[in-house]
Amino acid sequence: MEESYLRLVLEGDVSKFSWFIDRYKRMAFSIAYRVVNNREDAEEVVQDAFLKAFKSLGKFRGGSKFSTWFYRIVVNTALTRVRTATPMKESFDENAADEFLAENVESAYRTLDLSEQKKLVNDAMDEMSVEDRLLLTLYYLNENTIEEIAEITGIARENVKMKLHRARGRLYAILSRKLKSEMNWVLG
Amino acid sequence: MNRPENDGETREILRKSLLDLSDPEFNAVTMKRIYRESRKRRIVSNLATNLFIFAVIDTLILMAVRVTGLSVFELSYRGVNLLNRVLGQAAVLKEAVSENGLVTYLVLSIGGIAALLAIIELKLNSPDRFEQR
Repeated sequence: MEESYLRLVLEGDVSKFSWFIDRYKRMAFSIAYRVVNNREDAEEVVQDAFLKAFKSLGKFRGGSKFSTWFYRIVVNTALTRVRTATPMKESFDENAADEFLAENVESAYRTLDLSEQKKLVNDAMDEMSVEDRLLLTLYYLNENTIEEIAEITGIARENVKMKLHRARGRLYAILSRKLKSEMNWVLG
Repeated sequence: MNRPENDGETREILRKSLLDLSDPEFNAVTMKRIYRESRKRRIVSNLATNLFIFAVIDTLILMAVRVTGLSVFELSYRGVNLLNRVLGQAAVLKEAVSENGLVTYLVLSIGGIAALLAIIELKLNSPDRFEQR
């Protein structure tokens, strides 16, 4: 399916490129947002990435999946934008994770409604470093393999797993801290 | 919240962070940029192709002129220079030809024709046609 659309675009049927936009825009947006941390910038990044992909479509040899190739363009485009803007946030101290663990935080999380959970997770992601956010998004949301993540981000394959593990730890530490402070606020 | 050991729970939590594009026109705007890029590439490609074809023809004409020893400027009828008849009032072009010779004339005319053909082709394949589909 993907190959046939690719062939049609390369043969000059530009309109068929919209198929790729429909298919990949949402995940590309999530990835870009996790890097630039701003909706408008993320949308522009995704547009630029689609344009770059279109320009260099002829160079795509099919050695990897189209999505892997495209997400790499998204990541590079987003990182270029971030480098020219504000500096990246510092990574959260992973050792701080245990400090905030609380027995009843999990049940507190379950009591939140969907929109509150979404806000909590997004706020937690915002506090993380660009690299952590990117790795978590690619692995857990986009379900990329370790090899694909290495290809997309340019991080060495053996480091991806370790960094992912740490990123997950940091996410839970931040979630725990946020839930704990929310509980304290509720309990007065 | 204890750190889960299985990926499923983390995935479940992170799914809540999946974002949606807010711009309903995103596809249309992106495709417009794609069409513009495609058009730009066609201009360059058409221009290059046309110039190449005419350069080949130009070379063949020049070779033929040299081999046959034919002088275009000397081909006249009742003493009227052929150049004057062909170019008429195009003084600037005539001046360029007079000063720089036949090659300049050919390059100018061929370049002009190539550009004209590229523009005509672009008009025929205007991106608006695709967008209206």
